[in-house]
Amino acid sequence: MFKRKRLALLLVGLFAMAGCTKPTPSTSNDSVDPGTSVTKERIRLQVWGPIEEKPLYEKHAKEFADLNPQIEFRVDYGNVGEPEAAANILADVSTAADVFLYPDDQIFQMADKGVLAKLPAGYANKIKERDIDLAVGAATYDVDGEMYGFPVSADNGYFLVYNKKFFNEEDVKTLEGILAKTSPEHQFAMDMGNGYYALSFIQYISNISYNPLTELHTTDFNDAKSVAALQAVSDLIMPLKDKGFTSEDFNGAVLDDLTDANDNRIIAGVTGHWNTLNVLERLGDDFGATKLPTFKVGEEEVQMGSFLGSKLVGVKSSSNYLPYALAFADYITSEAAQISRFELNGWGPTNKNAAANPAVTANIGLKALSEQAPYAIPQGKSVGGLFWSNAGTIGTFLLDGPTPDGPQTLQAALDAFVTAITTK
Amino acid sequence: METNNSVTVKEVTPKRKKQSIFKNQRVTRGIVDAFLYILLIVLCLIWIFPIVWLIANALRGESTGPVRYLFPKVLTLDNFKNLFTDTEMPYLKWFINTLIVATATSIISTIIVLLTSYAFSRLNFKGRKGLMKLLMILGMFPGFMSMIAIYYILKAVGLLPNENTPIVPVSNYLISLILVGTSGAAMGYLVSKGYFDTISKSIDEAAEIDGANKAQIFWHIILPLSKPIVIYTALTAFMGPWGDYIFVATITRGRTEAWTIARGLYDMINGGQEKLGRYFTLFCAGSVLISIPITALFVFMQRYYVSGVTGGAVKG
Amino acid sequence: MQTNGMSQKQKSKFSLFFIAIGMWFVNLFKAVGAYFTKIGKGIARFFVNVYKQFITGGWRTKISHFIMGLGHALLGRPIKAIIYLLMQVGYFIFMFIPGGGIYWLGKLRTLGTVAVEYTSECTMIPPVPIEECDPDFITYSKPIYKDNSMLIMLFGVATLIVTIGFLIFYFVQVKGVYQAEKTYVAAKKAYLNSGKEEKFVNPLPTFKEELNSLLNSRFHFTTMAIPTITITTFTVLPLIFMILLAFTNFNKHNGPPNKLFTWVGLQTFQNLFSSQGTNSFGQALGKIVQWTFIWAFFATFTNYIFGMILAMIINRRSIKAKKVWRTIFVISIAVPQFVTLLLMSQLLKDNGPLNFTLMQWGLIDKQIKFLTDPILAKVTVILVNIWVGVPYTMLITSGILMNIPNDLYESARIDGAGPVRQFMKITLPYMLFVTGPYLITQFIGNINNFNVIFFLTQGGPPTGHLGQATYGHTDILVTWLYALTVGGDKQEYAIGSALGIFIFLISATITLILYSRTSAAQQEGDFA
Repeated sequence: MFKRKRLALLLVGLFAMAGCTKPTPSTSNDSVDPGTSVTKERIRLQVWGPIEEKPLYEKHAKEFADLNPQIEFRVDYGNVGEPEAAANILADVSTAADVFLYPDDQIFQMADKGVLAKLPAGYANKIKERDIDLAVGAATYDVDGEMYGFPVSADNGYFLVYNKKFFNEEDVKTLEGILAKTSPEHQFAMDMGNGYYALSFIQYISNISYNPLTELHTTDFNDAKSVAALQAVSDLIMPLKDKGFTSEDFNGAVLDDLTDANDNRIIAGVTGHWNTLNVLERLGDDFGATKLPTFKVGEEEVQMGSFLGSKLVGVKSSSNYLPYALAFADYITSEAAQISRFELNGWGPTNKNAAANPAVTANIGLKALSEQAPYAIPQGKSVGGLFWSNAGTIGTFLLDGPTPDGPQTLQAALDAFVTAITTK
Repeated sequence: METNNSVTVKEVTPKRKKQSIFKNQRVTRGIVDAFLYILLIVLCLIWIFPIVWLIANALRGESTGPVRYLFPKVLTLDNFKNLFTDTEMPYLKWFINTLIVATATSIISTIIVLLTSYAFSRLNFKGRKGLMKLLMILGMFPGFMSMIAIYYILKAVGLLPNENTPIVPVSNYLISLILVGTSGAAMGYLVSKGYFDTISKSIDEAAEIDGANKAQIFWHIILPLSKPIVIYTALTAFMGPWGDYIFVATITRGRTEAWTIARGLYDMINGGQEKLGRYFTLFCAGSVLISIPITALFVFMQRYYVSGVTGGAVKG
Repeated sequence: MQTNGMSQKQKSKFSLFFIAIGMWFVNLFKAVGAYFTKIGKGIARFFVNVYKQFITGGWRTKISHFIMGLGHALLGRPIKAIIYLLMQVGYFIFMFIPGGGIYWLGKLRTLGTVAVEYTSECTMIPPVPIEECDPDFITYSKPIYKDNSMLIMLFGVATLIVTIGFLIFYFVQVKGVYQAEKTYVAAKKAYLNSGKEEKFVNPLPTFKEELNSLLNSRFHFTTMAIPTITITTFTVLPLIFMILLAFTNFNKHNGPPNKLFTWVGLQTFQNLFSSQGTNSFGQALGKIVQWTFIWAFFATFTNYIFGMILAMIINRRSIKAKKVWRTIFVISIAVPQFVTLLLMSQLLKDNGPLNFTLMQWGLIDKQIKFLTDPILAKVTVILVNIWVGVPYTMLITSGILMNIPNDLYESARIDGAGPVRQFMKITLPYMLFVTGPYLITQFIGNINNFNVIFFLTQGGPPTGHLGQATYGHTDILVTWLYALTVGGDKQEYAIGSALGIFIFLISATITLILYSRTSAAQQEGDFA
């Protein structure tokens, strides 16, 4: 009996609570009479981003509060890295952050689900004016041509890094020149099994684009010119496999192999801006970085392409504080904010003026990125899910040749690849 | 415990003189023993090697990412130091969180499981057999979808943030973890019930004649006889929260201060290549630190663990 | 006990085995049919009883059908009455407050009609009414969320469960009052007939007596009460939710927050099992089931045998420092599994330390693709699983081995049996007998062994199977389930639920078949 009574009360309590928390339609909390601002409105924004950005956001929050004395402004920062943004927001939209960081390839799923705020014309025009074209394109949702994010950085791309002790500026202009200077003891590292790098050879001269609604690609990666180019690459690197060209991911081990301590086992490679500081640490003044090289196909020189991804700041479409969320997102992606972000975390800005800032152009990685940028394709719009592992298979094919139970010629392999990503 | 009386060796080999058997046996035994010792050493090396590598990585000083060689070139304790000073990865907070959750879960789970197993073992009530079968198979559904449901249930009860309270205190998350962790405790009755079954019922009957009620028999008679199974149950329940990160990730999302060790360590190496490169050695150091208390517990409780399991698990 | 197997006998044993399985299935269907008829009959009988109770019960019983507990109050047991009354009031509040049970139940049939409505808002700082707002700063697509199919499903089912719980208490209460009234009336009658010498004693148990019975004759109720509630809330409710999802079309294109999903009957199951077209679910499912069973068998078998052999070696009389050996192996368990597995995945990478060291020592000249070659990856996961599991099996078999009476071995040795023979005829049969149920749980556990495969290979290396149903060479059912639902972008929740049900059916069926066959289970504590 004793237990039953407690249980009964507990049950009643629980269910009363459950009943009381049905979803209420989200209404704005502002009940301010325009004109009489006696009581300050309390605006509390939830912001999600990587943990290293926290100090920056707190600084911006204070500045934003000073700029808007008519409100009581506060930011609660949650540690949600940008790769996890979409998953966390879609899991429960009602308690998701108002302002958050996300990578450009997540714009599809989030805009499709309607959780991203569509930027009103006022903000959209602002961005088109102040940010570089690639970033504006990345923030645009192709289905309706509208903008759904504030660009904050466009430095998720890769380029060529090399040890100046072994190469001069002429050597690194062509792939042949680079590989001529390699040997089994001093190799060139590029992760051929990774779809991110594998087809970079033809990403500038050939075309590929991705339709998120159908999840299919449109591409000419198996036409004659692509095949010829990739064949040339394969002929170049296959004989040098592990004797000058090694397929490895540019991580801790490979980074350490750049140093004298490890006998400079690696003297050049393809890696991205996320490793700029790491390579700088190892090579110091010997650090050289520039755009990716060209390679010879028959008589022509073909420039290697790459991917360039950007990060965007999104605003939750159903935010209770939509006007202020938009304004804050705008503030933290403005020119001044991007400069301080560069100073704090080294992120490459998307703001045109900020990108021209001498401090930014002095950064080796960002400079190399801007050299490579004209030949880069936007990651989010060009490729999607099925691309990655299939491209990796081609990369392995280029270096290792055919497998016993797979396609035996490059043309056949590319045909299979194109079929895989263009049909369901 | 049954002896297999039907086992008999049918063949009869030709008899040898007793003395030669002895001598031969001693020599053979010596050779076999030597071989077995070597085998044991090799096996121990294989089993210990990953742990050694873990510790080696934790002590590595020359870089923080994963490397391709096995042994560090520079030894340092910096990684351990950084665990407690790194602002982005509040290790100590996670450790305490997990300790709280594990201890509470252990205590509550043990009480629930033991009471339930006692009921199944000793009390004959309507639906006993059906309930046992039901509990046994309830646990067989893979749990991923239910995590979302549990998230919304916890949200409806008010433990997790909703639109009106976007921020809740860290203790809410811990309570949620304890609540969910202990909710299904009764489903693990099999081992403890098996153990209780081996205690003779005549003890119960004697106590009943002396006037004790069922509750008193449980507390004062059965429990003291069941130290191995109590320890086994408490130990296994204690171990759980140290390794669970999927559920923690589901309900805590961005609230770093509410994370448990597993979630935090996972974040160190799963936030992409950059995070892996920066935090790998830290991850190893963190793993070493949590392994120490768990190992200690395990080693000291080994005796009880074994007798608990063999007493209960195998008879079902 | 088997005699030396002659191939003929083994062959006929095989066919006998299959016939037995076939007969078992026939019996199963018969039993299931009989079971459902029993349930049906039981339900019918139940309602007949309720009706009878109402008719033949006293006026107190009749009142208690409408106001819970009133009967008890009128019979002199007010506390009990209050409890029941509170329950009834609580239930009605729960159901009829805005946003309460009735709201959710109403939507359950359709799973919502409107997911979202769009409204306009002025986004100027500070905000002004729309009419005065700068048109460049008006947003027309601010969502107001209405029906969330997932929440409707969850809370609707919760309401159903609460209602069932309430009804249970309701009928228990009615029966209680009925019997109490009968006893009371009979006692009152006897009292009146006996001439009213002493004061009338109410025969019904007092509140204190009820409390006592909860610690004694009804102790099972006390112990089970809280677990029942928590299990219902956190296991049964999500479970029913998940099962019902399998009958909807919840996926990336049909789901909250801006779209609804709806009931589609068995369509999702059809999709899961259909092998039409390329990259179908059915094809993937077939391959994955095959590997899952192979994996579970080898994982269980290798761990068991090697653990036992290891235990036997350590247990051997002539081996010293037993505790030391055991402790060393136990240390590998103490480090949490996901740590050791993540380490292993780093260690065994194509360009990881193990390959590097082997190449440095000149033992190999090309990297061994431990985790990236389709066949080798399968072998690697089994081997790593041995590393993970043998310490456990070693501990368990250790304890049992020590219980085998030594005279069995003595007599065998005197009869001239060598160590292998002793193992096959004494040790192995004994172990198999005693650890039967343990082996079954291990086998089922390995069918669902998420950790080892997920952390080592994430299910990879990838097969050529593409699209939504893509899978890797080491994917087992649960890792595939994870990838389909929570672990990526596929969001195939309905299919995932159907798959979950499928996995459950496999596990439960195997458990029930094997469990009922092991003699240990047959000797489960019987109450005379």
